[in-house]
Amino acid sequence: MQRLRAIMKKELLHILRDVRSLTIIFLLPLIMLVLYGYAIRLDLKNIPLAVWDADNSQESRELIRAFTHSGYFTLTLHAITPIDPQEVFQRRIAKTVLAIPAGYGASLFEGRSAPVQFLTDASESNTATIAGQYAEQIILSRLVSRFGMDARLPDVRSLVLFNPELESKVFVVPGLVAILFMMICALMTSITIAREKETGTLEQILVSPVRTAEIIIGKLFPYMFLASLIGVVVILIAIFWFGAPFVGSPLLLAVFSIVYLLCSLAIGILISTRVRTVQVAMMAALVITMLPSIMLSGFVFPIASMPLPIRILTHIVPARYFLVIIRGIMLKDASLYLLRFQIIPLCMLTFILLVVSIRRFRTTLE
Amino acid sequence: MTRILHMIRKEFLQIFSDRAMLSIIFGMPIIQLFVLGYAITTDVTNVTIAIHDMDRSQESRMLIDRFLNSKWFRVVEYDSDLVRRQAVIDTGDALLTVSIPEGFGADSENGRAPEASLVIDGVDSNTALIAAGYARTIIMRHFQEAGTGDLRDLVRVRALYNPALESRFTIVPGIIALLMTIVATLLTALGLVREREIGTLEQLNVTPIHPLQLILGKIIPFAVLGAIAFGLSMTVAIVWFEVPMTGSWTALALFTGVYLLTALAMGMFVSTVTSTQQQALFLAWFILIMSVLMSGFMFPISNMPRVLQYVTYGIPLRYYITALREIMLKGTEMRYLLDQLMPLSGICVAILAISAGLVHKRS
Repeated sequence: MQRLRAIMKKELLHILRDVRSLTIIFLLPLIMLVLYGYAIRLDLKNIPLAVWDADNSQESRELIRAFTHSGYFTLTLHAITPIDPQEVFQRRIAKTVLAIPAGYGASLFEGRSAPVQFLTDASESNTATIAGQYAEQIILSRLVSRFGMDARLPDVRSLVLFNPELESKVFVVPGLVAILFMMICALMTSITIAREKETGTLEQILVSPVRTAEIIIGKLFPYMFLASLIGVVVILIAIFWFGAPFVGSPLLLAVFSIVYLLCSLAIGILISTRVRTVQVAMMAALVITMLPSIMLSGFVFPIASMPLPIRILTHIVPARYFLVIIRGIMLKDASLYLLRFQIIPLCMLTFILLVVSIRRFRTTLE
Repeated sequence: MTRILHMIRKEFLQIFSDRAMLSIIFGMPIIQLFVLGYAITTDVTNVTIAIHDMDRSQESRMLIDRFLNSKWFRVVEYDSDLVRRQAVIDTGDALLTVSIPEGFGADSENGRAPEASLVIDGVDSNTALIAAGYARTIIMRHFQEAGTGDLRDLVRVRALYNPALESRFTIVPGIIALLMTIVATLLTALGLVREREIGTLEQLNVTPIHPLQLILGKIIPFAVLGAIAFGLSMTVAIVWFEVPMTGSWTALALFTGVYLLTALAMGMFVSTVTSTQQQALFLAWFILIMSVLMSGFMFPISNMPRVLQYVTYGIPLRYYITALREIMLKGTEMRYLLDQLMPLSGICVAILAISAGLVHKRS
């Protein structure tokens, strides 16, 4: 027990002495929170719009007003003479062009159709998709309300559950916690163990009377502690500063956080046993843990939209399961039963990784 | 000059003797490009949807057919009452429900506005927003196309440069820019810090080599590697992902050269303010994440609050991603890209000057 404490103390000192690393670990999620809270809005607003109004009638001006008043578009160019949409897009004056043909107003009164053209710069496909939908709806609903052209246009009402304002920070906080845990537990542990190997201090510890189990526990516990501490702080800031909801049971979240932390630690150990230098450990940890946790976990990019081979690949990414669990608990108060398809694979993955990594670590040590 | 050459030779020997490192330098960008090219998608497809049809008329069935035949949605449940409307969302079985009330078909036949309602799981706000938009579009189009010819022709939406609206075309150039940053910034930073951490930097300092020669000798090999990684990624992007390359290769090479230099300078900067490889990694990672979020790679800059829009002017990745997309997808000419090249070059010179100054001070 005393030897265990000594190892833990040594490891904790290592962590605490490196103020710069600690600062970044702590700052990164906070700045991401700030950015997601204030800067990154997924609901598009103020899309730059260039208008070529060849009609220049009262009707056409009212249509333009409908665009600017919607809040979705900001007028950056208003021309009555022809404009070249290619040039507008290439000079990045606007991302969308609305072209109203001559005779638009007159033809409406006569009940004929005069098609309005709406062009988007689809080199940004997401903006183009959403802008196109907005434009279609603005034009149609304006015509319907103004001229009663076809009263059969349906009235679609929508109701958003769990995140009525569609705020991305609500969605992002759980993801940040998952990435943070990976960063501390997998990345930092693999680096420290690799460093002890590279500088030869691991051998010095081995010749001391410390037992293998004590080394493993003593080295890993401080990282778990640090990760939990920072995780709690981030969640508290998210709740009290950014107003993120927490409707589920904190105890349940704590239990599965520990499972996930163990899983991350196991990956960290596994990487460290296979590499010889810190540099390789870091790169491997980045590729094996950090990137999948961000890209393949459903953190920002929906798994359902990925092609099948990639979707299969996501099943071995622990963050995938943890994200659903933490989101379920924080935002929806999900029960154990509802989360069973996440809990079971996560626990299995953790168990397998722990067994394999500890066995490998023992052979490395002996 | 020969000193620099010796330095370069030493660096290359070091890189090539470490098999693991070598496979990381060349393997990582390629694998990432493949996986990320598919994984990072803002297209929303296969959204799980539950339909509650209380009308069960011909009209409602025709509408449902549209949902069944759309690639945007995967219908997981079909019911004729509302009992499970909340439950399917709670359990996560469906992300979206569409309810068609009784009298829907009759209303549309009698010329009254029929009603339909959507319930959306808003947790993933982006997917929710786009999926709801799609659902609304499907319902609108159904009536638009069933309606008089007048209504059908009222608006024509056309997407230029990417008519199929594939997010791949937007994302892949962005990933290339990101990979360049990873290779150039991270590896340079790590290479320099490593020498300091294991003490060989002091050995180099007592040799007659000048600090600037040392830096150049360190940087040139990574510039070469960065250029090779760029070539490989471009090949994958064009051959495999079929991203169009409509613009001028000269302009592309010019921007890539300036950006590569900027990324290397950032690596140098990171190495001068950190003392262990772990710190260097964390700082480089920090810069990378900030660049990804603030460069317009995923999130349009025009959508951010004004104050933060000014912040993005200081992020070199912003200009490079814009240039890559403009040149590859839109074939934009150089004269329209000068407003990107100028600030990028300015930032490049500034970072180079700062980090060269810091290197001088530390050695």
